Amino acid sequence: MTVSQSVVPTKPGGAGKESKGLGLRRREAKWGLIFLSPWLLGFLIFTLLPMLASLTFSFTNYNPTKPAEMSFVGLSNYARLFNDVDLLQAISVTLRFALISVPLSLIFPLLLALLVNSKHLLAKNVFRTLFYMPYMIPVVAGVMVFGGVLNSESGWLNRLLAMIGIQGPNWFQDANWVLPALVIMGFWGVGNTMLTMLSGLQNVPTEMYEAAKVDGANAFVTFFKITIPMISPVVFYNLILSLIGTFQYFTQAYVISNGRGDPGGATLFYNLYLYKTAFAFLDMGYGSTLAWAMFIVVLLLTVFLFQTQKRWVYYAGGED
Amino acid sequence: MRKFALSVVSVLILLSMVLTACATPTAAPTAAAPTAEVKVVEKTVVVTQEVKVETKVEVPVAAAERTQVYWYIGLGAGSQPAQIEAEKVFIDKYNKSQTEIQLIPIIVDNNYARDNLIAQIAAGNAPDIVGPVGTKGRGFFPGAFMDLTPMVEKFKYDLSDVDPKFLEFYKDEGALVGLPFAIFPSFLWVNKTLLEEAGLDMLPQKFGEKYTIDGKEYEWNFDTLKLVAMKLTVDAKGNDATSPDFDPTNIVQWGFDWQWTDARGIATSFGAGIPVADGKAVLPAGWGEAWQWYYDGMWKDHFIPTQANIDSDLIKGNEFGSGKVAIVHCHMWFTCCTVPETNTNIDIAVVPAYNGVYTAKMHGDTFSILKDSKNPEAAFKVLTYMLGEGSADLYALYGGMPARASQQADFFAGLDKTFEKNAVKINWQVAVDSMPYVDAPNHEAGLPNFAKADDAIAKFTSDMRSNDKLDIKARIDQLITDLNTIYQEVKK
Repeated sequence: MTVSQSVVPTKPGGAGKESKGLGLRRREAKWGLIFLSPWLLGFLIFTLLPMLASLTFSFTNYNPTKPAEMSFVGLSNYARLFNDVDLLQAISVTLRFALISVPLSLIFPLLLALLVNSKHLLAKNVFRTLFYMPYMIPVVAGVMVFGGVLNSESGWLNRLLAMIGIQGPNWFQDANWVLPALVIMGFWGVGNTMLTMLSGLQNVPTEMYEAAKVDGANAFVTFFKITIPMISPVVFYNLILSLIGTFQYFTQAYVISNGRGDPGGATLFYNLYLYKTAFAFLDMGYGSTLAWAMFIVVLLLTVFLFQTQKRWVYYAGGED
Repeated sequence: MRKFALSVVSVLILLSMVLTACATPTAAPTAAAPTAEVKVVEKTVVVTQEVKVETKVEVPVAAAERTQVYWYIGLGAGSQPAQIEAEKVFIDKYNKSQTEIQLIPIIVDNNYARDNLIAQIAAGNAPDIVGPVGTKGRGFFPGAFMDLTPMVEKFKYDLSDVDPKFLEFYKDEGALVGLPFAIFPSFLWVNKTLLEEAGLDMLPQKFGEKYTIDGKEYEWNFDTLKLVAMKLTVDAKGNDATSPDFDPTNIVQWGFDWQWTDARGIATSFGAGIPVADGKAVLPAGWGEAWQWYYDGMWKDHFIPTQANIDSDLIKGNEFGSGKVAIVHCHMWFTCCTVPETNTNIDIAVVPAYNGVYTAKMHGDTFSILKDSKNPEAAFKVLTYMLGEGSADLYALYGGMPARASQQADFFAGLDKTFEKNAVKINWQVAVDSMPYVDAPNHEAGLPNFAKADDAIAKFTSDMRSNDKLDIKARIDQLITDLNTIYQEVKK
């Protein structure tokens, strides 16, 4: 785009300059909007309108196979949230999974990042690449593979346990073991988190470690007093993503449980319940309500976490 | 030293990842789904690569003036690549055979067909014809299909050579929602090699026939089946399940299972029934005993494989096809999946009796017209072609046994040819003889609030197959309570 240099102010002095500046800004805004329009249109058509539609549906009894019978039901779908036993089960499963999965999904990649960042490791780049690679595997394929790995009869994990005299659990058929099994499955795809953690580690100034060494700090103190605070923005970023990811957890549970939440409802994650309600039971009105309820809860949790960051996240350049 | 230790740790982690990557994937969980009685031809699609979900054939410009009839394929069989080609040939043949109607297929991968059809109906783009589809497939669209009785009367469609009993398969709440196409009687599929290894004779192939074990005659009932199945269940050391040395933690071969069905499909062998009466959940006679027999067979007597066994490398989702389960109860459509290349010594036998009564559950597939069809009369004309002049092509394509008696001989001759390739000779008379023992009411019959009720039954089936500590009686009570709650929802 050529910004005209030949615009001559028609009026002398500041007014002309102001007018020129205004015109330039308008032109820039116009072109900016033109360039943004594909995204704006996409957002409007594929995100905003469906969101508004689902908000509308949440006040109706909409069934997609009987659109003509749709009627306004007021807040009854929202009232139903408070006495839905299956929803309680879905929330319980999701929260229990979050309690196990979120901390581990931060700790494990951090440990891997420390490992591949260590000056004592040979062929660091090779290991970094190899640890990252599983992240590229499609989720469904990964789940199918883990279905074999964790098969209680022929999976290699239970075979290894049997070699040391331990009878492995019935990973996917036992309500007590299926969540740990899903957490183990999640370890396979931590490559991306590991990379962001690694970038955080590499941004910690080496002078700080040298100063700590001079002061006689041991590795433990150095890690908790220097490394963790310095990479806290990265940890915070991953915490937010992990939390949102946990509330959106669906594909793995859907594939493993045939879309039902087996065994005994132990994998009935919130999103799976939402999907079943809206698309299996065709209760799109209540399904939309569930979607909005989740949106609000995740939004509140995210806002809460952003509030807490003032206490534990350190931004070297200031928060802004 | 530190470098070495860290490298070892890294290598170990990587090794675990490599082992994971090299592991045999589980049998696609859907393939072993215990709750949905679905033909394997519909289930072998495993989404590990991009699949073309929907195939619409372009309408030739010259044909634009014809009445367009859309045929939706995928809700049942029909979305396998090999079938798609044959379907296109069939459609081409039909379109060339007349000048009034342009038949246009919408072929959707079975994994997405239900959601896709819901979306099409919701968007006001309902196709005209849907099929082939079974009772259960239709159950997810209550009230969506047209009653064809007025059309049958208007066009004087001849149904005289269809057993009135089979017409029931094509009725939803009294409305004839499909014309008779294919039926799939059920019976026992028997791996004769495994029976011979155990020193057992072939199972009865005639109703009323007794069975002899070690010179002693037994009634052919579920007690006898249990005895036979336990003799056929073998651990790694070669002990069978009747032996005191049998190791239930190391089984390599099982005696029996109901393959690819849910709790209703299992229970109906102990007496046909429907778990609803006057809008309330009820437990049909014999069903509690059936589920107890089944549960004990898995967890107490060990002659039925559990879900973990079915998903294991030994069985890989197809019990009979794996050659590791000697006898399975399944339908005629299982001809798709017997794996005759490896199971060459197989045959079929009649189902055992419960309290002196035989029940051989039945499936029936059809093509239906949606109520929202824009051209129902044209769709009905297509339907009559599909089930008349064009039926031979469709039977070959979908493997169903013709509901019309006049077409059955040709069907069995065709099946014989297929199995002869692997030197397998099957006594199809068993299938024909099983038809009068059809389950009425059908085990897939519609229930109030069908999708939720079916889900509750699926959960119950899954619990039986996965939980070795289940109090089965309490769980049945829970199922009845759950079903009552679900039925009540439609009344509100």
